[in-house]
Amino acid sequence: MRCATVKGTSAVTLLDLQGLSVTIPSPAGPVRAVRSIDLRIAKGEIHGLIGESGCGKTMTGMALLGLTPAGAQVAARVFQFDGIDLSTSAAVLRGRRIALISQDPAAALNPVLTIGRQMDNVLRTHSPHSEADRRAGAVALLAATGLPDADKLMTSYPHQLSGGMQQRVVIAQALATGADFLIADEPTTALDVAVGAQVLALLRQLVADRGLTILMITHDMDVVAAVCDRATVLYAGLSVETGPASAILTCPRHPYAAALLAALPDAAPHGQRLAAIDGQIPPSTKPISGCAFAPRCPAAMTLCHTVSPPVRVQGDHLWACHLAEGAP
Amino acid sequence: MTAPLLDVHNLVVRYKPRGLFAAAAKPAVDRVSLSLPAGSTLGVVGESGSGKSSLLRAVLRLVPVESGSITLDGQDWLAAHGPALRRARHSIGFVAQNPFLSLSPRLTIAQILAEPLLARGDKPGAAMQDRIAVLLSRCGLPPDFLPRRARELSGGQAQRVAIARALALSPRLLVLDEPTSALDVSVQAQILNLLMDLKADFGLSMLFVTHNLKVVAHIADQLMVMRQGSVVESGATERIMSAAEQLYTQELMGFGRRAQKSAPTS
Amino acid sequence: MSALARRLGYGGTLCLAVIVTFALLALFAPWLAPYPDQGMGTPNVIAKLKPPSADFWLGTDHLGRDVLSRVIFGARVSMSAGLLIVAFSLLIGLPVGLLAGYFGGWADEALMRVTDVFLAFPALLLAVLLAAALGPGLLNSIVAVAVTWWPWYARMARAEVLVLRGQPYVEAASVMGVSQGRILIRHILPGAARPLLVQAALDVGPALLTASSLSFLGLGILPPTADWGKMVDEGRKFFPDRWWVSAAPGIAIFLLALAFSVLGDALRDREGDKRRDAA
Repeated sequence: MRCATVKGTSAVTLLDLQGLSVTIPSPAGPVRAVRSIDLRIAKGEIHGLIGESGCGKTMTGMALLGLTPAGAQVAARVFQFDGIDLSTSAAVLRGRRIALISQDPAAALNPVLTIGRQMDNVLRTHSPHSEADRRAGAVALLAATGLPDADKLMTSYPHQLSGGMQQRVVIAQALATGADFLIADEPTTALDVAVGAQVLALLRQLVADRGLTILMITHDMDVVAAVCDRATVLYAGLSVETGPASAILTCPRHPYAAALLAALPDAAPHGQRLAAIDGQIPPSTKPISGCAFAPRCPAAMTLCHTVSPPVRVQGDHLWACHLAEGAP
Repeated sequence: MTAPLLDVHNLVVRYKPRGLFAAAAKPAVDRVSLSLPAGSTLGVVGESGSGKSSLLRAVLRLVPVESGSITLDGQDWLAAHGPALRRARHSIGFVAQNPFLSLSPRLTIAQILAEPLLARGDKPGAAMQDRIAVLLSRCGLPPDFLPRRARELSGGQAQRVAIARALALSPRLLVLDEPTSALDVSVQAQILNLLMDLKADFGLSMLFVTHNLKVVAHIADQLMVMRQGSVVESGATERIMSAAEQLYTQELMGFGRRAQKSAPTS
Repeated sequence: MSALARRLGYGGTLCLAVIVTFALLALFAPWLAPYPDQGMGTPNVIAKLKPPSADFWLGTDHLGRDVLSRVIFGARVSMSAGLLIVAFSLLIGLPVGLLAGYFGGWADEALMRVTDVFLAFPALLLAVLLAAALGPGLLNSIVAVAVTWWPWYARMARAEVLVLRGQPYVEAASVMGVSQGRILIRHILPGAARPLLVQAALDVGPALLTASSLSFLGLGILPPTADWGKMVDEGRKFFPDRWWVSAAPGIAIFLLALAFSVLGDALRDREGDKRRDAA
């Protein structure tokens, strides 16, 4: 099919990340959890970070939060958040401008404190208001996440809420910090389909209402299709393709992105063999020569195994491949 | 028309209420019936609390059944007890969700694959070693995996071992509990392909239990959607996927990419 | 050595060295002790209660015997008492816990009530009573302590089995039609035994302390065999003027018990790391 050229947009860049690498020392030698990831996210956008396990998507989120494991070396050519250098101040911005919404809301909430108490703990560190004002603020935030009876909820404990409601409380807490950039790490994986869809709709609405920006870490193409404006595909700790979410989903250029979509069970007719990707991701302890995907790529040429692929640009759709037009 | 391989009729599974004065619990599985013809695949779909896992555990005889019947290959499957039950179990293969948890962590792959054969009473020896190597290669792994342990394998490789183990005694029925949910998309495709190959080669019947409608819809002949212990909708896969009668089934099909389904992937 | 240090930490390695040293002393006592016959009990009354000197590095006791030789021979008794108490306790506690945990029901109830009875008594008091009833002697004192010790292992083994019994790989084995005995031995025992063995290493120190306490009270091995607890008791009458009689065996007890405890701790940390990795 014909892939339309996508025009570049000129939105204000909130996060600019170039050449991020995270290396963790281990007895078996340094583990390259993130090799080189470029990520540019505009204000007010939901950006999908797509990849399979071991691609470095969660570690990228941790680097943005300043939560990499002890001993890890984080380096980047550019590591800017709203003009602030994150390489020195990621830990400072965490809980002020950047907040995390994790996969398991039950683990993110303290089981022995009421929702009200936990909201207040966050608000108290961020605002000088009186207790009554903070309470009103907490109720307003809970209501803003679509929780019914927010007032009554203040005295409830996390275990009294369903998974979907717990995730809404976690989102309310993230809002309470005043953060304008949320890192959502598989926020719907632990939830039932319908509940997950509601949580995604809420995030979409918060972006529209409050001007939030969200990095959506996920392996689920349905989530990308449902809420993401743009997306970046990761493979073996490298960003291999970035562009508008719809372009990536319908017209992937990097052979890995194309193969990933083709492997989905609804990509083939009922009962037909699926286009599985043979082989394994390269071990994170070994350096990569040439293109990381070359050993598994159906279109690989000799060149691919030795020379790093050039970045191809088409409007604001970028991918790294030796093939000029990308995936066949 | 031959008799179905697995026939479940009005099955009720109810767990004991916790505590002395607790009211009787709602049934986890409430009068569920299903029929699985030999050589076909039934997908049981449901979310948490739907009772799909309790149904599966009842079929595997891991939880007691309150009422109803289960017939396996014409035999009353609930009547078997003790050594007879143990022998009868050999006709069902089982694959669990997380291969790393369902393979003994301290045994080698060769030992893991020998377990069902030894349980049947086969004698250890060269013949058994050959059988194990054949099983493993049939599931796409070379024999140099035999001396390894599960933790040295990737998720997809470990799940292949679990499938090989389930097939060791040439069962007619394979029961699968979310076999791809812990795996990446590309690996999930490999495992689904393997299952389709095995079904074709051995004429296996499969009971495939999952929360992911799209995954099971790809390989199942029949679908059964469960919610809160009851069957919401069941029928031929094509019929349900093209025209689900229940709103809940449509919800399960997901959101998002439906809008873009008209544009094929290049 | 560096590989060992990485696995056990430097403290653990040092403790292992202390334990190995004492074990070698015990094993080769007749060749290592300066006065082997005195170590075995022959009195030497012409040199009673001599302070440490070039001839007697740690002095002599009230019968003129070389304290160093007695401490070296005493290592045999203390080492074997500590290890045997723990071994006997494991031998009883592990099977009882396995069976109770796996089969549950009335067997579980009965076995656990028995352990409750033992655990309701203060362990040392019970050991003293039993040792008094059985009469003095090394084996009797070991049995007396082991009888008060095994219920802890039974409880622990049972708790491990309850966790492992619900593991998917155990369930998978039972779905395959593997017999219960084989599930217990092949799939549950290896997992349940590990933490117990670590606990056992941790317990050798307290076990030899308890055995020494019994000896101190005169309920342990009979004279003239050298025993650290007994030696501390004998030296008590001359303390503090002739401190060396009690001090040397006392320090030996302290060192060996501490070494076992710290080593057990290092093993437990390693086991904990493994469990976290597995999760």
